[in-house]
Amino acid sequence: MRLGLVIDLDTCVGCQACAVACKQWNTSGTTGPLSDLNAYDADPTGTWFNRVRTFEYNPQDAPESGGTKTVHFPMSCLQCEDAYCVSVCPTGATYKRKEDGIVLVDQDKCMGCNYCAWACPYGARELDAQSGTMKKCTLCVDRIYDEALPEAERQPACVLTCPTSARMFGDFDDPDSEVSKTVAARDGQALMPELGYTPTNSYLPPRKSVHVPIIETIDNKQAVSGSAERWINKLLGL
Amino acid sequence: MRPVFSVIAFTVLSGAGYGMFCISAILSILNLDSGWPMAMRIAIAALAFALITCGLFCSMFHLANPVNAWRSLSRIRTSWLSREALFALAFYPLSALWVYQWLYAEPMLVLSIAVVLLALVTVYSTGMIYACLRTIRAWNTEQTPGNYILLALASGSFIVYAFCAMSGIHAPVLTALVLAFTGVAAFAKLAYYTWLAKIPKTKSSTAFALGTGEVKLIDTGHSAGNFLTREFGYRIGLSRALLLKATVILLVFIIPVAAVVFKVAALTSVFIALAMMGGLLIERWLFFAEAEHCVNTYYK
Repeated sequence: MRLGLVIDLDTCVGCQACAVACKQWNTSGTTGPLSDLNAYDADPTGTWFNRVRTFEYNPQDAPESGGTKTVHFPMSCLQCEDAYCVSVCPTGATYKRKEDGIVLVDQDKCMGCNYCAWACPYGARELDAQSGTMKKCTLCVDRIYDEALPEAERQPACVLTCPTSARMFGDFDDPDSEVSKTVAARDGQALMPELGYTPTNSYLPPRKSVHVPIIETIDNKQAVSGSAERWINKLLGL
Repeated sequence: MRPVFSVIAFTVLSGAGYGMFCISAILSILNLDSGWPMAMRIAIAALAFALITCGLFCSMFHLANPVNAWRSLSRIRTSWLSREALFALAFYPLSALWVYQWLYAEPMLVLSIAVVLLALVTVYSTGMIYACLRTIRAWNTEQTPGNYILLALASGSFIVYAFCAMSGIHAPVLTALVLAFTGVAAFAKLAYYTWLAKIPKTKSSTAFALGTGEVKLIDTGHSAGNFLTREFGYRIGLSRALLLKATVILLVFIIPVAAVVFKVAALTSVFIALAMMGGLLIERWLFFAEAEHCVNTYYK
């Protein structure tokens, strides 16, 4: 089993609901409370597993691509196959589970040296100021196996809360799962594959908007009304 | 990368200590230390031990949860930090044995060779902690552990040279080694600075899964700083960097070499050794400040 997320960059509207839901779910649970410092002061800071940043993307191959886009980019741990953060950890606090591929941090072993955060290219790991340990997205491991929850709710908090269904959760090793089928259909991408981390999470690029050819019914240069329009515009200095 | 004084102090101090042991053991192997008085040997050994121990103690301040620091020995198979911890600890009994032999017994070639090798391996491991990270382009080169070793040897050998000068000992081979190590270290450091100026800034088109095209940050998703911006968002201006690099070249390379070539007074060489250490602290600070983590791609 290789559990992970698929994030649809075409559908994400940047509402930050997934970031908030993650923060709320992880108020307790396996990794304990995510600290907030100076929460009501001028310079608040805190530990978040999921951060949504917004970018402007200019494809520079207009008109086929449809021009500049605003892309909202949620990022949490990509649960890499060759998770180098696991290799560099000196205490063995970080580990990748064999049964489902989730990368976790054992809060009882972590010494907070930041080395795993240096190794992560995606900024998935943060040092929690209050606990002095490194924390990261747990893929809601305490939700997805919780028998007390109804089966439909045994998904990560961010996936359940997304109002535009831009997040999907499932087993990438199962070719019939929603995530596998979506990645195949929409050509899901890994981030920074050249680093060799082989991330499990996949990002679906925005769909290419189709350039619709417009049939000119009246050739404006020939029509009488067009020339009158142009004469008036010239007169008015437009 | 945000420069952390605890790590800077650790690498500079312990590097000098390992360098001192290395050069002393090399001279012992070449049997060139027979005229060295007992008091000087004790002082060299004590200072080298003190530098290494002080350095390791400083590194503990980098840990946010030091109660688990003992666990850092458990992943020598995959982690360079773990390996460095192991070698640093293993160096103590070995060097203690070597010092006893150096002070009170007949020279033992095997022990001296072992000390040289373990000291070099420890400094190499320290450099590899940074060099093995593919996320930091400025560090991900074999120059990193190479520079760590060369600077450790240069600083350690100059300190031992200063001891010899204070004791009035004429040591031509040591002088030659100081010049050689410092010269090669200078060349390597300049090569590194030249290489660093040429590597492209982090800008990965594959970071966004959007295809080729320009990506610009509009909103970070938070109104204030966070761990990522604080740890990885450190910037240094070009003019400031150049000024600091000039200071490093002056304090670490030019002045010590001049001191050796012009045979300055013994006390002066002590002050120059201190200035060299100060220059190395600046060099290590720059090593951190000029390194850019690829997560900054998402903050541009």
